[in-house]
Amino acid sequence: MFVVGIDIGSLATKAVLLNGEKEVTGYVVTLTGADSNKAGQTAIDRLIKDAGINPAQIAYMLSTGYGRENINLSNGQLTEITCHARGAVHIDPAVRTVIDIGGQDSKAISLNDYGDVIKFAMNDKCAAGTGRFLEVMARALEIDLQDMGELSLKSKHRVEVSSMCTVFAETEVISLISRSIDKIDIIAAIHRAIASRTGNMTENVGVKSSVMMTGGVAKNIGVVHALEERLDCKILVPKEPQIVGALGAAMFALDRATSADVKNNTE
Amino acid sequence: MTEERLVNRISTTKEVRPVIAGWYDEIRTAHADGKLLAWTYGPVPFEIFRAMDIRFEHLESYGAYLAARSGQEKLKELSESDGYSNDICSYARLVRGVSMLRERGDTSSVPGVLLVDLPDFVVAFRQCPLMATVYDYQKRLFNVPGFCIDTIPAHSEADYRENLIYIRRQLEELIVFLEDLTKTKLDFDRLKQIMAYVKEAALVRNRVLDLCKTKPAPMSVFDHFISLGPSHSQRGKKESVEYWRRLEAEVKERVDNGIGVIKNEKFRLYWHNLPIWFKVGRLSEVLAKHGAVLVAASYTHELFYSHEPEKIDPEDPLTSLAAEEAWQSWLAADAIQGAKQVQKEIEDYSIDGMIMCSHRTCQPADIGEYDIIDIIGRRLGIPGIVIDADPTDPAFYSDAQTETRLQAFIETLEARKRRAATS
Repeated sequence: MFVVGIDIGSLATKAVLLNGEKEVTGYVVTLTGADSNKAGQTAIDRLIKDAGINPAQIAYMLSTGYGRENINLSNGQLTEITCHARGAVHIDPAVRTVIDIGGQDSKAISLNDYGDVIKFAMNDKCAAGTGRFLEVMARALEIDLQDMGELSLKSKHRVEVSSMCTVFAETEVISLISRSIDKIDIIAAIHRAIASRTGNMTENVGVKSSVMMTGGVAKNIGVVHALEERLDCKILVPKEPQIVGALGAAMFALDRATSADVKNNTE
Repeated sequence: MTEERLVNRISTTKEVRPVIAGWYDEIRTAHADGKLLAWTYGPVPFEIFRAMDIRFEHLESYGAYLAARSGQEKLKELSESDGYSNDICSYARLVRGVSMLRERGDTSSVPGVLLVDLPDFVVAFRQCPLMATVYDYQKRLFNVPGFCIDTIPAHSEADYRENLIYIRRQLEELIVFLEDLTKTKLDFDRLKQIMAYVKEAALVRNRVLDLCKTKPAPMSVFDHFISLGPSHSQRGKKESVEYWRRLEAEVKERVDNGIGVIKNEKFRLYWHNLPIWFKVGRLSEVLAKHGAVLVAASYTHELFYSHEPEKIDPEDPLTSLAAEEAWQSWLAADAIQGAKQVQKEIEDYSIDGMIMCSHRTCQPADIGEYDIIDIIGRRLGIPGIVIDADPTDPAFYSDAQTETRLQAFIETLEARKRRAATS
């Protein structure tokens, strides 16, 4: 028996295939694009093909993320807050705080000793401090997004990017470039700005160890370091931080697949 | 959105729309009928206007009325062109749009049915600083007389008492101001009769609120929000008492027959702050989908004479009017007092969680949300969530973000319930 957890985010769609022994037997990360149902279908098709299984072997599929209600194949859906928490605790049962920064939103989640969500906070409608924000800044700096993390660690001089409005921050960055400020120092400033905003949100829910960071932005080591400095604590980053929400969704799918009333459990 | 309606709305609320339409008809025809028209800002004492046959537009009610109708975008664009920033109170922006069309004599850009005349005078209550600024500005703009009732930001019972006396004295001055304008004396007997109806309607209304302590809840706060229409437009009229009596009968029948406003009530929630007027219907369905119902709210359960209506003394109308205004000032200024009220409602209505609605352009109403969540969390262990919205401006609202937060919050409540059952 297999189950699928699928996390349809604003930028990326992530799907995880789990077997009955709670082992990840495959995962897919793809762009969501304009049609979230199509993106979900494509991800699942790839997942099935790569794993070499029959679609009929999938006992339950649970969706999460902003597109969670737009995927026809889903048997049930839960929010990304609940799913990220579950995924993080599955990876490391000691996790009590989860910081997730995705394509267009960020969230801080506080867990109790059972791994249940007790408090959470999310960014407001503005995409400041998210993956999209970093993309815009990388474009303004004419560097590759994936290089930002490592580059920022080499920063020697402290400069500030004070605005967290994506448009205003971009203007600020352009102004710093025109003053011949080293790009490396500018990147570090951008990361500190993100850490400041996300750190405030995390303190709002309470920072308890262990702290894990999930979502695509967790791949940026510069942001992780800036957050560690801001929160004055060590932050764990799983091997594949982007799929933690989908993993949590798959865990819930497994619960439901193995519960007696699975047939009725189709909310 | 689900096609099948999950919320079994109270049918008496269907009376509200024509009542509101009738109220605006009265406002629109004020000058044609030879009446004075006041524009009012904040919770001013309508009862005195009513007793003096003065017709009045109330900025917040009017803003909510406009927000629910097409044409509102045009009004906001106009106010922006007049220098009103997007961050200014969305009620004020809509009403500024109306006044600009009136000044230009343009009745073609927005349906004429939405446009009231410019005022003969303006009256404000300084509880909301921004509203008082809008009052100052429009008084000068329209070059009309004005009266602003001042208030003390109370933080204690003693402040409240002092404020009550202060406001009462100003109400006496307001009456002199209105008598000068209308060239007639206030008929105190008429005001006493109006206050008697206010008291009666408030007592019936509080009985309806009490009925909603029943499980399952027979009526949701969304029905209460809609019912504020008659509470406002018919305040001090016999018709208001009759509305609440019909509503009470319907709610009581539901309680007697165990009928809930939603089918499968799992969670009872509290709503803090103003409604999101353009999302009342959708949000009631969203919550119902997850088995949640709003059973109490600050806006419906703490204002509009719901606080100790038995103490209203129709024989001393000015003290009763001042007491209501002083009470509203206290709640608005003091998060600790606010938290006491929230605690009472959480206990009375067996509430599982709080939704704190943070309104982007109504900052004075936002103070203390996180404090209240902390205080209630420590005292009662009841959690809360903050959502970002605006009373009338859809530009500051996102369905997907809000609904994700609400669903995630309900998921945390489910986890708590499961954990409590197994431990």
